[in-house]
Amino acid sequence: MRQEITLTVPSSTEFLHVVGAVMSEMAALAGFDDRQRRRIELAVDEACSNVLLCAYQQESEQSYRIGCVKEASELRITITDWGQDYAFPAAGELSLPAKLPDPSSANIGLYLIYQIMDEVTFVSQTQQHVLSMRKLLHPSDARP
Amino acid sequence: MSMEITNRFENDVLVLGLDGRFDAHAAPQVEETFTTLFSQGATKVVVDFSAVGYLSSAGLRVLLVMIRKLKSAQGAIVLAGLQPHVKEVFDISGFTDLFTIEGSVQEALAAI
Repeated sequence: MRQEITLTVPSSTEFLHVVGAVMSEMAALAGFDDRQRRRIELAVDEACSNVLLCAYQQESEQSYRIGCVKEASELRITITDWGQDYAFPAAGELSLPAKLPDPSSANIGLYLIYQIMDEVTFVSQTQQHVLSMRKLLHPSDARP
Repeated sequence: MSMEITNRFENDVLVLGLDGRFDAHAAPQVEETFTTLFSQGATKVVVDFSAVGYLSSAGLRVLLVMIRKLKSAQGAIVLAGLQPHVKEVFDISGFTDLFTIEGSVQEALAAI
């Protein structure tokens, strides 16, 4: 059964743990085991941190929206912001962070997102950016 | 949710204890604490991760800053007590190869 929640989150790092807790619970409801719950929480945290850093440049008076859809065998998360334009490199453009001479937290974060999620797409529209992430529930990742 | 940071010296080794989420919210606090202690002469550092339940890229970046500053001062850093899911973040990003990681603070003090 398809179920969805939507959060509107202030653009402050203070709320990252709140988002993480909600995403972790949604992942559990979708059937993911503890390890995958933590990984999904991390990927969403990285995506939100990237919005705060790149789109809003640490300005805490804005907000962004997170949609999370739970389906029978997958979780889909969409993050929408209305901040400044920023680049979101494709997976192939990123190197292992430890091999870079001076990786930023954004570089490391994007690398982690691509390692964890099954599908990642970024669309930059007029005054709006939408990051969509999809995680499939494989039998080996399911709660016992 | 803020992180609790403690510090103490074991001989000439700074033991930095972290308690909480090491994310983009806590990272500036940890970096500032380290920078202050480094400027006061701490060049051998053990970071106690045993009470860190969560680590993100912002935390990894602070650890990179720390290792670079310490190496430039002929110092050293050893991480101790990483929980398995925190260790996994190091593994995914390739950071495991950059740091000496020990099971406990005592082992880290012996290794540094």
